[in-house]
Amino acid sequence: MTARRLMTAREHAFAASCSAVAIASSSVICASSAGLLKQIAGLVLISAFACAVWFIRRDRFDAIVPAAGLTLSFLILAGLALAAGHVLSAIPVALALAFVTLAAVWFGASSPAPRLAGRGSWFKRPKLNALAAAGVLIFAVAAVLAVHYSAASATTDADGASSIAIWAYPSGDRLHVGVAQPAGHRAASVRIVVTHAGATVATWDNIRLAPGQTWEAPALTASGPGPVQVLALHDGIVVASVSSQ
Amino acid sequence: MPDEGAYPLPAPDAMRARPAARAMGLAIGSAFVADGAGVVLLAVADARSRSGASGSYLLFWAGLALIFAPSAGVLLLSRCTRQTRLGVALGFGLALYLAKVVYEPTAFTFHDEFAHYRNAANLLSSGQLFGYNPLIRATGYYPGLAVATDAMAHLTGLSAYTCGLILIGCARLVLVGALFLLVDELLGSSRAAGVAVLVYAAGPNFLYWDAQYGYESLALPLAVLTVFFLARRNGRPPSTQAVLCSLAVALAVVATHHITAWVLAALLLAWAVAVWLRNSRSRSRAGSGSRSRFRRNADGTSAGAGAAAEFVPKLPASVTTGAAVAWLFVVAPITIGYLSPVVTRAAVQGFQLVVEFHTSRTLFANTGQAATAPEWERVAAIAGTLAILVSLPLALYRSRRSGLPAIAKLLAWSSLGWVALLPLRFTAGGQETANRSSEFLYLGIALCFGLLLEPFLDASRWRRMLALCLVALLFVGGISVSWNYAQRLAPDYRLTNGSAAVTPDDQALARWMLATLGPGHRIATDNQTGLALGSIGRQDVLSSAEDGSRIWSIFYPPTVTGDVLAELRRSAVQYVVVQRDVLDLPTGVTRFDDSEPALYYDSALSGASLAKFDTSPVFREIYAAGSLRVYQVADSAGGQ
Repeated sequence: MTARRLMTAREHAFAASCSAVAIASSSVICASSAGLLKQIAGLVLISAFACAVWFIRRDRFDAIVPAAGLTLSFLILAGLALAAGHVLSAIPVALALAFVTLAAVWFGASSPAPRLAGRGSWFKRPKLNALAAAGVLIFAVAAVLAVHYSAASATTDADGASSIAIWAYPSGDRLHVGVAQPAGHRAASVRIVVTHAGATVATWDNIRLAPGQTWEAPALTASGPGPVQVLALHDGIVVASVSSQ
Repeated sequence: MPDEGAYPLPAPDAMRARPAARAMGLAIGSAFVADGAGVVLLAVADARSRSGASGSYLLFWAGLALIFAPSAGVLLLSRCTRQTRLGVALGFGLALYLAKVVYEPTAFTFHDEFAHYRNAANLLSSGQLFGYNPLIRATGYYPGLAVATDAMAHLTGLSAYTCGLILIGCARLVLVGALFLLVDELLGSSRAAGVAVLVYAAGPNFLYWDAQYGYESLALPLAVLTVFFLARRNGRPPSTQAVLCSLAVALAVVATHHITAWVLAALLLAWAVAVWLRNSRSRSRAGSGSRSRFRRNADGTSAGAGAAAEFVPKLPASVTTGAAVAWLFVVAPITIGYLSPVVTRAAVQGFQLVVEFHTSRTLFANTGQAATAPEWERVAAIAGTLAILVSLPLALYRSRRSGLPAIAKLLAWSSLGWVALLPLRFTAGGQETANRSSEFLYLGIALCFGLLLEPFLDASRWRRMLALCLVALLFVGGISVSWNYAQRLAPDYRLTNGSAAVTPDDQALARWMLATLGPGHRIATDNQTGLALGSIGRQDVLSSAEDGSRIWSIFYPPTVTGDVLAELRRSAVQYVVVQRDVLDLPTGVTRFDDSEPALYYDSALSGASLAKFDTSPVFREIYAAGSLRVYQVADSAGGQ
């Protein structure tokens, strides 16, 4: 009898926390434009929805799988409906998800879980095996470290394989000139020379380019016939150039 | 009566159960730790491959072995609980997903990922469904993945890339979990379910293809979940809640991926018809008084003349089929034109193979290239294939005698489709069809192995070891054909030819074009550069399949001829982007478009063909980086 009462108290606590989390996180999403807080709130709201769906069949641990699938399906169908109405943005998605989370919690609380008192009830015994929990935790930490290490390595290698970029594109009668140094390269000083029909029209000496830095010249007036050439020189050697006839 | 809630006293049974629980905890904990260690090894393997260091190949296999062996040990050898098996299976599936994540954890790099990223970017920027996608136009008409990504991106403020990784990771968990629960439900054995998960993971598309950011990676798990909602042991009807859930999930599948939706609809229809026929036969037998004949089911319950009728999934079948057909003809008729050439090519070359014994492809190699995979991998792949071919008849024979529900039998017999399509792997045109169908047909193969090996797992240790060895062989064979050997590990961009992969310079150019020139410009370029420009840059790159343009007629002539100018005008080209590394591509491989005539790609490309853009007044060079050059097409050429 006490166990049953205790179990019901747990259920109520779970339902109440799920609802509170849904309301709080949707409020944060509606109030904030970007940032870590919004990221956490968004992920928490989606998780709250999954938990609320799982709560309907809380007698079974494995109901987490269909709960995750239904969460994905909800994101697809709700996203589709909102996009069809041209209102796919943060506030409508957050409100829809919070509303459906509350509805699922209410539905779950009002419907009895048939096997809750049975031996296989997971909700009744939320105590995890310490060794298993430690294994899951180590897996999570290893996965995060592996992805982080891999991302750092991929970024370094991609930066190292990138080339210095130079551009000179016309916009009306103005010419926009710029240079970008890849993040994987060392800082360098370059000289930019712009010639028009063989005559030098602009020069910038000793432009310091830090790794990953972009430099853009003030727009030039370059009208009239003749080829335009832009050179980037380092120690007198051309490291990048664009030219047009 | 003691108060359970206050000070629970351990019962003698509970005390005996403690060491067993500890052993189970150790088993599941070890499997997860090994999964984590395996993922770390894979990350190191990819990092070493990227930097050109040695040993990456060994590390790759060591990482996979660490993920596979302990999980397979728990699933096949131990006598642990159903929940433990499910937990280990989920960890195993997630670890293999992370193998794809650590391959390239900063950006989408697989071909189709670029196309799907474009859909998400279109929707994020414009809010409009069905935006133009020059990379694979048909994908834009199945926006399930894009809307889910964008809904999550709006909700969290995370990038579309991060949201895509999270979504596909969740989908992977759903796939593994739903498959486990489905087989457990149908065969009544969590051991068989564990076997099924391991065998399904041995499918050639599990490691990379179905882990990529693509619509099938999201739709397939949901399709399996739909079947799980409806399938019940002995064919008893599911609850109304389950049927409603299956309908919602099936509709999500219809809006996400064409082939998965059609396969799901076909399966549900076949299931409904099969059960209807079976029920009719039972009724007629009952009418003819053959009440004395009974069959024994797997769990000992009787079925036959007097048994309750099996559930007929009429509503899910009709709703899914109706929705899939309506979506195809009302929303996405373009899909027919997209898929029919692939199917036609497979059918023609399959016919030639059967009638003329004409093969057009070397096994274990990309079309037109020689096989590069090590000998032992090829042997393992062939041995794995033979093991499946031998095992399937035994499993099907067993399925006939075991009184399984109709859906289990249907799935088991669908595995024969894999056998039927196997010869297409010897054809260049049919290889894609054979390979892409395996993620569906492996569901049946996985169920068959679950059915076949389940009795082994309750037997002596050596028979269980035999089962483990068989599954390990399938896994190694599947990984060997999962991805082209040369591309199985992350590429070293310093050595990569810019015409064979999307390089960091391509990505930088795509970002520059989007920021500087804006989206939606008509651009002629090569295949790989086009992927970056069409997705990250949101430019409308030319594609013969999508807009009928003939890009090759712009690039191949050594001078700017009238034909070049005519194609520039016809395709309204605004910019030409030249990747000079295209000159290094061997003959026999398309350079600028997959539809390029053999007349062009079978001959060498001259340097003058690309240098002509430097000397013609029609083109103005505006950007240069490494081997990339961007030319603006002058108004006088009529391109703009």
